[in-house]
Amino acid sequence: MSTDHPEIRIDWQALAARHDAAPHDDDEAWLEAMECFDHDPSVRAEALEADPLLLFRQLPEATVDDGEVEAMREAVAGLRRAASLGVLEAADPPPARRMPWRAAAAVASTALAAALLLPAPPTSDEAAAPQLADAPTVAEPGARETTPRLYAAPRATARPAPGAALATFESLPLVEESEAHSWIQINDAALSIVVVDLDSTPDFDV
Amino acid sequence: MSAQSATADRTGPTLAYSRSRHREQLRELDDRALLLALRDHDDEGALDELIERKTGALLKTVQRILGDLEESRDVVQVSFLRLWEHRDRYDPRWAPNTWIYRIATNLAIDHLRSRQSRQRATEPVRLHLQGRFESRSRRDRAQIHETEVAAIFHELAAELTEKQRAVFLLREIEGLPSKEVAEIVGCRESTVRNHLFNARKVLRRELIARYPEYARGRGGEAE
Repeated sequence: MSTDHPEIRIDWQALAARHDAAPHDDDEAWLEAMECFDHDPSVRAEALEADPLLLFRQLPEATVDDGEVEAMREAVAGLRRAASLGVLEAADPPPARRMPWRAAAAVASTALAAALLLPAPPTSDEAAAPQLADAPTVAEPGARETTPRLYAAPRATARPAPGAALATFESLPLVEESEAHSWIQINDAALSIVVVDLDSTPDFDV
Repeated sequence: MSAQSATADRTGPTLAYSRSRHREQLRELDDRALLLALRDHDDEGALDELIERKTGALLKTVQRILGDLEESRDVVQVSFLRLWEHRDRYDPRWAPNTWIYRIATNLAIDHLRSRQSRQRATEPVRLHLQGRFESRSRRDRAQIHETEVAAIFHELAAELTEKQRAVFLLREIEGLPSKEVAEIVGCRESTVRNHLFNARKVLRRELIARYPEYARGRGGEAE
């Protein structure tokens, strides 16, 4: 082959007229012409004169990088957790602008805090211990007996098992593009939930 | 190999190891098999794999429908949530893409309906664009920046119903076959045909009326 791109004459007026008469038909010639339109800017002026609606083939496309996919994965995991905790109704219409994973995560945290407080065991410290036993601890081993226990939420995503809500408390994507994590602190009957942004907390290994 | 297993049994990293191997196995599966893994085994890894494969395409399509990237992200997130929640409803006779696009497109249409803002875009935008076009050659107009095209489209598309808009984008811009568009939008092919005719008619009419510099060819004569 001497030429990779042979000159092909496209009769845009005729093609556009045919397409306009039956836009639902899968016309091979039209599809090929669209390939040409998309990839060869030199034909666009003539094509647009024939069918001005071709203008909209130049609508912008969202560019997706690895960060976008990872953020999507985390957001969906957050929504699923929120749904499993009953704070996000599955049949809800799509939420309003900026609502889903940021607001839902906040709601999930609140609901979880409420769930932690509601059972109100007689000795909350003792009763809570077995359920939290699997959560990694970040307090100094020697200080555990004398200081309030500080539990780190596990980083790995896990599916909440029935009756295991405490063990599945995880770092929720509360803050966009940050390393924020949630922590539970129990001191006698008092319970605190602390959100720590690790971006601004150096030397703090989870 | 056995030493590795013994170590794994003793220290407990077996789960992490098998999870990564499972993820690799999922990567080998086609979309239909992933949806079946989701349906039959509640496989969360399959959902993650689908998110990795489909985020880009869904985001592109939904953004074209909504015209707003941030809202599109929200809708795509909810689409994946729905995919998970309704995993038991997947019928393998459906093409995987059709199934997934159907969820996302319907959510996008619902989102459009929930918007109160069906008013036309502001006049200053039109005047601004018109001023720029007057100083451009025809060739320059053909290379108009994508964001300007998006502004024009979303102004004109406010005259369409949500389904007309979705059908126009899926068929004319995404280039999906009419049959698939019908399945995604959830209507007959004849309805798709009607939506498409009407959408093209309205868009051309409005384009000529508001941006005649784009419609000096056959489009102008047609009206």
